[in-house]
Amino acid sequence: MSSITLKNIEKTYPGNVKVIEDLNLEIRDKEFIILVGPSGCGKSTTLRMIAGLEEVTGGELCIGERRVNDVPPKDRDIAMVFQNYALYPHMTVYKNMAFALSLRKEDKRVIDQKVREAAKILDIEHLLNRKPKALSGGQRQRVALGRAMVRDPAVFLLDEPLSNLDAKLRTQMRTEITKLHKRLETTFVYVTHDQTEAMTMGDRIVVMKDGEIQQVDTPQNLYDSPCNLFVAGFIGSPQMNFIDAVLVQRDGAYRVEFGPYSIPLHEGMAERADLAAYEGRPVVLGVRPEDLHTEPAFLDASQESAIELKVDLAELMGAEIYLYGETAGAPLTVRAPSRVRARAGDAVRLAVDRNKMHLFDKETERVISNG
Amino acid sequence: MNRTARWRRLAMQAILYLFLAAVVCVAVAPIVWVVLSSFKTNAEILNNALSFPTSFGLEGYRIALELAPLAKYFVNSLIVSGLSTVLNVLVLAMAAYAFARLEFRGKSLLYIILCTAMVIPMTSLMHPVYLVINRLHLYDTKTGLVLVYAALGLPISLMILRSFFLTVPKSLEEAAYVDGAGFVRTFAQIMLPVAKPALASAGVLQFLTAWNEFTYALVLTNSNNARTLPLSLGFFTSQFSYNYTAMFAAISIAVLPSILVFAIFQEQVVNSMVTGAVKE
Repeated sequence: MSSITLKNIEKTYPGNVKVIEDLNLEIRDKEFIILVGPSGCGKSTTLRMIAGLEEVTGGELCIGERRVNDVPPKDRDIAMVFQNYALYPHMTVYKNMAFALSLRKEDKRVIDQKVREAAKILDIEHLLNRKPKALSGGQRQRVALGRAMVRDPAVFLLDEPLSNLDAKLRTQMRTEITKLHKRLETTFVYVTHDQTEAMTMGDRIVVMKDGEIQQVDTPQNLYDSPCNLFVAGFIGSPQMNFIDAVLVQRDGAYRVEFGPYSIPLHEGMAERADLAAYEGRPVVLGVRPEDLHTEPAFLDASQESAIELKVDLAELMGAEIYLYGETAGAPLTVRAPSRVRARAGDAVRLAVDRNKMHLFDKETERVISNG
Repeated sequence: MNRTARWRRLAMQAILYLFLAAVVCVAVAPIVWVVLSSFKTNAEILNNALSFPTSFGLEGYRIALELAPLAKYFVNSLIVSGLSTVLNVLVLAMAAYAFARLEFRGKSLLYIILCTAMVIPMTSLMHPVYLVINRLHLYDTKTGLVLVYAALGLPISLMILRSFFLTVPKSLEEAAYVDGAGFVRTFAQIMLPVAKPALASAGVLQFLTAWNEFTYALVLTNSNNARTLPLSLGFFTSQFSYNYTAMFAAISIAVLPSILVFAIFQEQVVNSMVTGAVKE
């Protein structure tokens, strides 16, 4: 049983610098959980506290049923993969992988078997006699994973393990780590600042900012139902468009108004949230770039939610095109099929998908209603 | 590139190489002169000090070994320099690691004090060092010299090793902790092997300091039992001595090992001197 419980966790550095305050999180057994957030949000500190490399200054940290606040890293039954791999440069790949087992005084044959097994899974058998210096970035990453694997730990901790790799290798290793998780059936805690990694790898994602958890949910739920402006902006690439608007009620229907536009809200939105409280108040309308449509059929069917985009820049990505521009003073990004051949200076008519609109309180930045 | 620019570049390079050649000459010529002269006869030296030897005779070396107990002094030098190097590097690797990684009260002050020792003239410490060694009953012993030499090289070794440890990413130690190693094992099995280049350069500098040291060896010893090679040259510089060949032979014996050691390890010494200066 290798669940991890963080209860009212606090982390204060000397000089009373509080980086984490009252953090609560339940990581389930065998779960692949991702801690994601911008630099300095406390995600790495949280991971290092789980590893025992940082002291927990307040609260309770449990791995399984055991309280581990004061347990040294070596007795926590964890393994960690570091951002810079942290391979021992003077040891061969084999010795790097065998180091932990030999410290445990395991039988030489058992060590050999485990190292070779892990090397086979990671496809690094031919590298066992090399020193880390003679390996490429991707190979080093595999060795770092192998070193963690051979120990058969209850918890795998990974601290931005892919950030030193080039884009292609990163995509490849992403898949491999996901597969590895399925194969090992162990709890994985993975720290990244890359939301693509977070979205593609995790069972659940923990979005953090300024030492606080913003939202914990599955990737799809985070994407569809962000709890605040920060999460909405952080998850998704290109990021969600935010337009300052005012919520009004006209002819019995709620509408958001900005510039010359007035878009009626979807009926479901009014049912789910108490919109009356926000009537006449400034709100932020959130629309994902793919929920702005250029197709004529959609435009015809959604006359009321049509807006016009003045294109500043068009980026052709191959299968699709990103249009960057402005609508009623607000910067807007549109993700359209590549057959839409817009150029800088063009005016493009778009229709907002009313089922996919998000409404946020401008003051508290909390969500009023999603879609 | 036009012609003038090319000529100017060539001229600049010529000046640069001439300057470098001059520097090399100033540094190397005396050593070459000494070694060459050690193969000449005394008459040849007196006749023309700058001439090449007519025949490479080893007479000078034979006389040198007869005149002074060079072999004994050579062994003494080896023992004293070798042991002081091991002691210096071992103790200071531990100290440097502590200075690089641990937090304790007065750390910076202590480090500054230890490093300031470098600017204190060696001779000004002569008297207190003599008293201490005497009270410890280590006068005229190799142990006494080993201790003093190990201490003499403290600031430079500490600086080299500490700056090296500072460049080692902390994650390496953290990986060892997670793997199950304690503090001591992490130091001995991970950090020391990683610090090999710095250990080598600190060791070389320490060895050279000890090998070439003259003043303390003179003051702290009075018998062949503990005297080191630099003191042996005294045998050849008495008022009525005239055997220059033997003296040059003795000097050659004294300096060649240190040149050899430096030549072998010079790359590592230079590398560790600039460690941390540029991002790798």
